[in-house]
Amino acid sequence: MKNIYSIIVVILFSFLSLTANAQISDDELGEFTNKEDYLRDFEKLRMRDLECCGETPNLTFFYTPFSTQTNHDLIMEARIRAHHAWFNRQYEGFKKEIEKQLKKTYPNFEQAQNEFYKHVEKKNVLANHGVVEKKYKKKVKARKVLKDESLRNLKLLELRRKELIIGNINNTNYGSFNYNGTPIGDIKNVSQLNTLKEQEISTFGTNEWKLQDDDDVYRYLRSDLSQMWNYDNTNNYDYAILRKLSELQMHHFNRFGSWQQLDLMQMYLNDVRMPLVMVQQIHAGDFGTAQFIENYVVRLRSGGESIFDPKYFDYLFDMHSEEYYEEAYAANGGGLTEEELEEVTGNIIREIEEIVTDEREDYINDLLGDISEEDIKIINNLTGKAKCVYDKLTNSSTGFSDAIKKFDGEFPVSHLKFSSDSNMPSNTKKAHTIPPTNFVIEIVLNGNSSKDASYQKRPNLMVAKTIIHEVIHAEMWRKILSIINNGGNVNGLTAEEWTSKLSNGDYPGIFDYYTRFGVNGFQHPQMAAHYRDVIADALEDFDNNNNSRQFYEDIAWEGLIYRNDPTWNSLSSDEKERIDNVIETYINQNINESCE
Amino acid sequence: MRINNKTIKITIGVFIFLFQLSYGQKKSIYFKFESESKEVYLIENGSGENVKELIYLKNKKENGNIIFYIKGQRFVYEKAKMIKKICNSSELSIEELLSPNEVVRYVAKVQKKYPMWYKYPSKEYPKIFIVESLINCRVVLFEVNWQYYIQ
Repeated sequence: MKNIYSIIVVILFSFLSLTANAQISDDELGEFTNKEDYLRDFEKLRMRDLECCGETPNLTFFYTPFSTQTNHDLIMEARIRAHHAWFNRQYEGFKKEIEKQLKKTYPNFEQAQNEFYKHVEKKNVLANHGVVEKKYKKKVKARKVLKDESLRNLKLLELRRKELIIGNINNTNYGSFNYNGTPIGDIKNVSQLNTLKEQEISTFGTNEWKLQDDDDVYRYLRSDLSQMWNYDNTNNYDYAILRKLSELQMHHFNRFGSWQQLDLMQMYLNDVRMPLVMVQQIHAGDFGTAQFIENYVVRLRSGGESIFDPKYFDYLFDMHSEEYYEEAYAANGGGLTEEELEEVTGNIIREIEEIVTDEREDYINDLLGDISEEDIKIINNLTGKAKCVYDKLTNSSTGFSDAIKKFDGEFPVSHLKFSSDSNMPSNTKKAHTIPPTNFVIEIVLNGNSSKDASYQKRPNLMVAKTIIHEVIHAEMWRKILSIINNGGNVNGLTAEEWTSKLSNGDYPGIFDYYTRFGVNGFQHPQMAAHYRDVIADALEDFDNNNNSRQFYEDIAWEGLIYRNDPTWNSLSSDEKERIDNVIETYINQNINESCE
Repeated sequence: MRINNKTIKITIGVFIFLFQLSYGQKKSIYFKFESESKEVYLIENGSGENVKELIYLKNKKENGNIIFYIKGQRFVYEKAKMIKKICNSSELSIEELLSPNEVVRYVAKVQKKYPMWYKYPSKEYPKIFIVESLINCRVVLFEVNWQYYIQ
């Protein structure tokens, strides 16, 4: 079998090398003449007998590499025989073929060709823009996270600054926070703090102008060009990007001699591109690649310079310097010495630098003004539907917002971080909670929209239930952290130390369940027995009491139904069946629900 | 040959040094990771039923960290702190590559002493490496640490 494959491969290579040898090199482009070098190898071409067969047949279009090769042979034959009339007739054939493909008539070949190139490139742009859009969406998202982190840092530094000013040097209220690895309490004076603040403003500024640039690109793709992406599968080619691409195609076309242009055009019309192309030097190109789209949009994106962009100073200088110079000339009776001119320029630079600094400070202060002290203690990286459900939950349920407040009090023992994971590989995990690491407990929602367990697919009420469920886990860890007093972490303690600390702590319930179910299994039984009411209350508020109390209590069971759970096992078979049915039916009826 | 005090002291010193070398540093432990495997196991996910989950799951984060799941046990490779090595499988002399069930047993054994794991890195416990096969007989080793999570 291997031998047969080898023979096929050898034959294929021989065929390709034969056709490659028959090709024309770039430096051999020319007009009508049968003396050109590239015809020296014509005997290698698979041509009909030139003496016997009358006039060369017209080119044909079957949209395959074979029709392209046949056409190529015919073009070479006609060229050798200098069939000028045949040559001209083919352009009429091209026009007709374009009209057939685009279902439209054109007054001449040139206009047909121009529109055909736009048609080809529109297909390319429609196929490739998604890659660029996805890339910039990801970039913007990552930069927004960095922006939030940077603002939290600046807010934290501001809070610490207030403490230092009133003389609270050693008993910071923000002891569990770090600034880039330095415990916030270790910042002991304003001068040290100002240095850190300057660094952070620089970090913020760099990220901010890059964010604005990336966001401009993303918005341009989503808004200015969205009409083409979303609605236009018609023969409308009135887009600047298509005009540009058509120009590139024309430029490419005009690089070749007339006979070669025939080949180029027939390849396009046969829809034959690299790597199928056989006449390599005259390949039909696709210019509307993802790289082209990105470069085009980056160059033409809407939006002005960010005030944090290093070019912003130059922009202001160009805008205002003339006015300053005119004032200086007027004040000096129309003339300035070299020294005076230097002094005026120095003053202009200083003044513009002050303007830039003030604008940047105002911008940051406005943003910091919108951040409450609580905001920096709960790190919320949720976006889209997850953020929408979370906000509705905090606004609707006092029980839920009270639970959250335990993480943002004046002396919290831990902080809470919400995030979603767009790559979570599991199809069964709706979310998970990671116990405290350096005082931060993290709740991660499944944000992989291809999975049934993702928040995108699950109904809003069930996403709310998942968030409440995970916040209760976080609350249990918060209590444990307050008992074990282990530097903001739960690792490093032996089993004996766990038993000793929990038995002497303020939460005998936790100790009881820990003793009965072990460290890996105590939280769900405790939640099932003691927190289902809390979940049902919050869901009832979230859902504006649209259903019965029993419904919310049944929904609250999701994620708590385990074979060995004593509370679940105390239910009758009918109750268990009802709960299973209520959950399953609700999910099936509200899949892919949006949140507004 | 006369053996004086100095010789005895040197001999004892060498023995202590060799002892430290042998026992002061734990051998690394290696976990098999087959990223292309479609093998599943059954797990309760709180819905009242056993659901099928892939034994090996991998999730690369934007910061370069990688989360590995082996039969539900979570291991984290932190790019900034931990080692990653690529080598030919023939160069690798690993005495034992732990299967998923052995990984679960190993985690349970450590948890018996440290319910929420030891402080990483530890002199008491060996470093853990996830061993993932690449093409052309090459393997990639990720140093990882176990992490607790609850659904």
